[in-house]
Amino acid sequence: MFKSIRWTLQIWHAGLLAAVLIGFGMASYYGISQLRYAEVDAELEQTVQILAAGVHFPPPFRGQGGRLQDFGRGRGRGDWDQNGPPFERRGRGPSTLEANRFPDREFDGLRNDWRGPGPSTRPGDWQPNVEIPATLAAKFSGEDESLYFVIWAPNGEVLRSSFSDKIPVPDPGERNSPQAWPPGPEPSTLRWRDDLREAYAYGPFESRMLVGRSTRAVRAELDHFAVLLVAIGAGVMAVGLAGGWVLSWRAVRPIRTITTVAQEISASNLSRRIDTADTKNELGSLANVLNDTFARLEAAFQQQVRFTADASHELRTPLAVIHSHAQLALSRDRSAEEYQKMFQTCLRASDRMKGLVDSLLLLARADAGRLSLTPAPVDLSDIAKDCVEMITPIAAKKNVTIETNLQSVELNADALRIAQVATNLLTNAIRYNREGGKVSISVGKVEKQAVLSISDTGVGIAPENQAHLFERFYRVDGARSREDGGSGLGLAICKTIVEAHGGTIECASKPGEGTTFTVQLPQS
Amino acid sequence: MRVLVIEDEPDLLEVVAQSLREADYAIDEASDGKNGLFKAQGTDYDAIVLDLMLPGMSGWDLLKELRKTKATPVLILTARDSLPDRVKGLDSGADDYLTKPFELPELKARLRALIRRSAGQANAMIAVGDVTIDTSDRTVRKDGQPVALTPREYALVELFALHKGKLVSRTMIYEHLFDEQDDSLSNLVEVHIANVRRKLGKDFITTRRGEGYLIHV
Repeated sequence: MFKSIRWTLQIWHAGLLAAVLIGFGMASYYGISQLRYAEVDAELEQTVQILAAGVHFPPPFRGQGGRLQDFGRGRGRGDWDQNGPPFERRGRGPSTLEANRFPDREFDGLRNDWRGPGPSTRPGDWQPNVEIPATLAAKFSGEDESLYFVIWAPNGEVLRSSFSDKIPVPDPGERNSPQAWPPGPEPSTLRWRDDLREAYAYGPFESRMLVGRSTRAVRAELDHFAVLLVAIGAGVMAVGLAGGWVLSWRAVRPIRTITTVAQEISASNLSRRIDTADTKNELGSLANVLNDTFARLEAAFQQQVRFTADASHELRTPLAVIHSHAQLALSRDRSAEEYQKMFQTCLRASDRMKGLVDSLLLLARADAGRLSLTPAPVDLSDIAKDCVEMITPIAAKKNVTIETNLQSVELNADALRIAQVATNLLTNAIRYNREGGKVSISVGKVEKQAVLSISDTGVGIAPENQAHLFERFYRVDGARSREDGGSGLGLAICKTIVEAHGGTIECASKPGEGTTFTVQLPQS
Repeated sequence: MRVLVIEDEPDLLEVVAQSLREADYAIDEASDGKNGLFKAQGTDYDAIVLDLMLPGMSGWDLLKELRKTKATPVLILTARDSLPDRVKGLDSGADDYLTKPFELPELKARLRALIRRSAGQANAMIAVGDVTIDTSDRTVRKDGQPVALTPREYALVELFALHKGKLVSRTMIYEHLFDEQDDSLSNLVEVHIANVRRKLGKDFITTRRGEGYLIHV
């Protein structure tokens, strides 16, 4: 069953459809999830930047080295927001900032100093100011529970958090690049922690801020989307398969019809044909091809049937003659002369049967492709000469003169068979000639072809009969007098022999004027 | 009884004609359709043996043409043995159909049956008074005793018996007893009738002067 075209179509169809759907589904899912996560990331990054912008350190080195103090004093807290990092305005000249290079060893010392409030001598001075914009605060405070933030002091201490759980402090060593000077808002980094998406950034002095949110909602949304995709995919698949099944059924139905009819035709009668009315497509042309084949088959079959009937009919008459004569001879005592006459009649009839059987056998062999020819180099004019000699007494009986025009032409052929052709044609030319008529036989050469041409001055053959002339048992006169002899196979045999030699035989005739048969044989 | 044989195969025509002649039929021959039709239309044959494949005019056409004027029993004798051919032959007016090769005794028996039937006799044994005529073995008995008749005398008796109670004219006797090659003198019929009367009784045949002869039922 699965070998049928329909199933093959269906399986391919299903496979393709599934591949397309899965591809499309996966692409959609991937695209949507990327988009959703990108949204989350963008939000987190934006938030973390806002957060970072809200973290300010008051001047850290009050009371220490003059230059730094100058630096601190000269900077207003508000400047940070509007004008970016305060250092920027100070210029980058190493003369002023040499001791304050960031991050360098001097600064490490600073960090060591700032190790939490305990050991520090002036811890209160080192608390950075954290300002969280109201909109952001509102955001963290409740409407979106999954959103949280943490701000760490440079020493890793949590400064502010909207979240009670401990969150791993991002390791500054993981930073993509050492913090550039001046320590402006850095591009934030994103990380995954289980299903938590977090964006963190480094603020001034290794302070760190992180905004994260649970992606559970996004996941759930995406899962929902995936379920939807699968459902839609399954639906499309089901509709597609059903449609494909119907389509393949429609496509295969004419084939099935053709098969059924073809089976019936081959099984029973050859005269049926496939209905091609509703198949104008490729199957229609297939049906037409099949119909043509059936027509040829039927014609060949009918020809065979007719041939068999004709053959048996031709054999029945001489058989009837023999049978009846034997019965008559045995019915009473007869004189020797009477017996002799009857035996002669029987002999004549059996000769006719023998000739007929020989002819049928020759045709049957030719049909089976087993016509044995023994080709040898011969001169066609010699063959013609012999045939004319043999036929002259018969011609003389009908007062027909034979004219010859024989040129020597060598060819490779079975001399006996070619002689049979020539004799057949000559006999016909004499038989259907008028009293005192003329028969011309010529042998010549035209373009490497040996040509034998035999014309008579007889009644000729009507054009409608010429086409059937070489058919077996075809007689121009449906029931010609038997006294004329001839079985109706002569020309069919001529054609068979000539074609077995690779040659052609043609007939040209004008009713009332005569007929010319032309045989062309290849020389080699 | 006079039969026309139309057959284009000379050897077959010869054997059929000869075997029927040996069975005391008067036989006319024709070897083509046109000649056959001409003869069949011109004479009241007791039966016609007809081949179908004839030169000049096919057996079917001949039959169709013949049936316009004559009801002569026709037996088709042909090599065409297919069912459509047989049906067509019988439907176009033939009375019997026999395919070649055939058995001569069968041909003769079928002809006898045809002739008997066309004369309105169903039985092969015809009884006229104390005379019984067996058409199957061509014997005549009077009071149960076989009577020896010459072929011509038997033919005459059979003709009268087949047409018993009906007037049989001299022309009819000539047509049915002699074939086209016979040039028997007319008074020969009188001789045969005289012989029959001598052998089967004076009253077996009644003479109607100027009209013909008659046997009473």
